[in-house]
Amino acid sequence: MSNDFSRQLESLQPQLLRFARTQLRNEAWAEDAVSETVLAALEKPQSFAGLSQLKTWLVGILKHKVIDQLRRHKREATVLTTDDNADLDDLLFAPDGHWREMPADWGNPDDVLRQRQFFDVMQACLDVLPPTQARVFMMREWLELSSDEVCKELTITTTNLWVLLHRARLRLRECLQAGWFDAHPAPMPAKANR
Amino acid sequence: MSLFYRNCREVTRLVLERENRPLTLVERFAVRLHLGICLMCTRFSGQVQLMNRAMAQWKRYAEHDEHDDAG
Repeated sequence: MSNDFSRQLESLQPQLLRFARTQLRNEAWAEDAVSETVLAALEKPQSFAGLSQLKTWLVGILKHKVIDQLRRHKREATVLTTDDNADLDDLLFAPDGHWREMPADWGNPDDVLRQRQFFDVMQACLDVLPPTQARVFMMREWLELSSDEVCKELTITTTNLWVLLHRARLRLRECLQAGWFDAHPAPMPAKANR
Repeated sequence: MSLFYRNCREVTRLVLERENRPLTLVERFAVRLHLGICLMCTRFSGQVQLMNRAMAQWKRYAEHDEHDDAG
């Protein structure tokens, strides 16, 4: 059984690493978080009904290890780039407060979210977010930490956090527009039932 | 202008901010009023909501699915 267990662990490692990379955006930290996860799992091997249950359990451990990494490297993890300070509002809006460009119609969310390839594009978009934006965004969305918790872990102010989160959402929107919606425009609203 | 008037830039900010904190009553009402008459901000708000749902679903796929995607 323990042999089986370590083989299963090994098979899930690439998926764990992908999560850790998306969240940490640093290869060395991601590898550390995953090794620590695997070690912790090996210390208390358990049997699970299937790979997917084992994965859920491992992801739970990984989240803690990822937070440890963020804590350990918080100074580097919160370095700002020019993009983090860029006023994206100015890209969206003219000085008089009006939209520069009409936001595109993204169509019916149910239709979009049914398509598997959309999520490949989203994964790619998450992975090209500016690193600090990605880290705080993923802490909220994937680790499900509250704003207060994120601020505490990284020692940043609420204002800083909000600015970063706004940038992240606008960047993600831009990337999804270019990577998905430009190629998959919403159907004309006038059309009757399909 | 009126207590409830917000321009597109301000409404966009509030649409993003409500992901971080609950809006006040006045803000909520101002956003609703604005969205009622502004197609552009309505689309933007829809995009933010779609991204929220997409993130939730991404999480479920990534964490629980059994699909084979080693590598």
